[in-house]
Amino acid sequence: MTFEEFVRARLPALLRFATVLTGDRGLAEDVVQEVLVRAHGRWRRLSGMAAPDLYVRRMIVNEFISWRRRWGRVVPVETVAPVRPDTPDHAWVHAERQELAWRLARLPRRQQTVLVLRYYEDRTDAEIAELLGCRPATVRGYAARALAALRTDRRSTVLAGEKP
Amino acid sequence: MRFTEQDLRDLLVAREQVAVEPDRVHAGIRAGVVQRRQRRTATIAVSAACAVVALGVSLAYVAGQREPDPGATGETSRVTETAPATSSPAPLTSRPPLGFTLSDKNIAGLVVQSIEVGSFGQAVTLWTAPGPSAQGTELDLWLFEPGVYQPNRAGESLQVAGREAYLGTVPFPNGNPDGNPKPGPDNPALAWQYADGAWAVLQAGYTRQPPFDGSAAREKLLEIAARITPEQPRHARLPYRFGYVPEGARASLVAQTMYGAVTLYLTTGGKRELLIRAAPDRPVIQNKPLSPNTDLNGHPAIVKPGVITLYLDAFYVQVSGDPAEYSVEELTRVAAGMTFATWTDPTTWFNAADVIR
Repeated sequence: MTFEEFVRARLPALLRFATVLTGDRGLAEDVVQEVLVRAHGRWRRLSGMAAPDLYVRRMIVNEFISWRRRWGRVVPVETVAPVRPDTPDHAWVHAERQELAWRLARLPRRQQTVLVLRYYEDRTDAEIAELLGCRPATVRGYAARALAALRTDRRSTVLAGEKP
Repeated sequence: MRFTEQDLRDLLVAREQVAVEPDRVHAGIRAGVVQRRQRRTATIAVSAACAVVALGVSLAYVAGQREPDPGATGETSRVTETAPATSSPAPLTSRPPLGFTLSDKNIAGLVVQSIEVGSFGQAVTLWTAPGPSAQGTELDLWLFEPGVYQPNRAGESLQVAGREAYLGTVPFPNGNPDGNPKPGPDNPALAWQYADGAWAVLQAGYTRQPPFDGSAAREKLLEIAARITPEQPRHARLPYRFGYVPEGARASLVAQTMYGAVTLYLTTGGKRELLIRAAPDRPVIQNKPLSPNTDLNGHPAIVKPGVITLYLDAFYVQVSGDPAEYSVEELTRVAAGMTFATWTDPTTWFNAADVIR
């Protein structure tokens, strides 16, 4: 498979993955573009791999985890979670989602990545460990801490705002 | 109230909808690739000029017994410390065509993800061995043949194993010799003369992760470089040989990966390269296995323009070339003329330099 064929076949999926991973369409575009330009330079070697797609995803994950906010970019909440039109209570669901998105964006990036790989990509802990270059137990630790943070933080916020 | 895992799934799936149009990114990738090629061309020109000037300087040095001036290369010198090598580089061990002098498993304690060998030398992608909490980090290593590559001698001047070396964030302006990986202010790199007239380059691929995210990068690169020692040359080996190849075809490069795949590049005159890939897995497209549609010399096969796939007992082989330059008939003739080794018995494999008879 040539690089051009790979890009044609896999670019939409890689962009969706990067967008879900970063929560920012602009950052996703930058990350995917940067990674694929770099992948082009080493395509001879990449194309010989059993799963170049998996390797490129690992490059995207690494790029996201290590992405320095070079241009002062932050993960904007407003680009995530459009409300489904058939939801009965738009305002409530929207607020909830925004809250969840806000919490998610503030997790350490490795924890965000684990959640995306587990709940969006449906990957096993072993697969996630391979992508991140760590042990499955480490993945489980990241996931547990991330889920705990999403839930307890929210509860703490609610409790703090409650009237006696 | 607490969120559920389903809430999280819904949120993540909803994010998909804001992904940018692939066409827009595709255009950006094309532009990036073109820019990189331009940088590469400029680098080759600069390197060639440096080589010529360096040769002149060397001759002048021999004639006049004077210290060569690093600034005489015409490059903008950013040397912060001049420390000429005190010991001579080692003579280069003779390497056969398409022969490795680097391990394909482990180099300086790092995992070899992929390695390729050609007339330029050897190129390796290394992965720092993952530990319990450490993230893997990539590095690229090139071991160039003598005269193929010349650093511009900018950056910090130092020594690796007593030999001339330069370290800097961008010691290779206009890109690295093969345009890969990305040169930039965040990519610390080290170049050293590992043998007479032969340079090695080590560059961190991801520089915003430990141990390449701070001042430790310098020491880490030096530590790794000091442990890189060419081994006894050995031939690259392939699990097949040819009965027919297009006229003028020659084996130009072999690339192999930690997953067991090995790819041979056949250069055929002015045409694009012909690729022959052998791998132990099964070819898939979009995670779906392909089904053979014909039989070639007793082997199940898939024949289609540009790619012939042959299924062997424990591996498969793909012969691929640009369909605009190689007809299905010609690719089929190449594939049908191949004889195969036993995948699980490396002693039956063939030297890459001898697969064209």
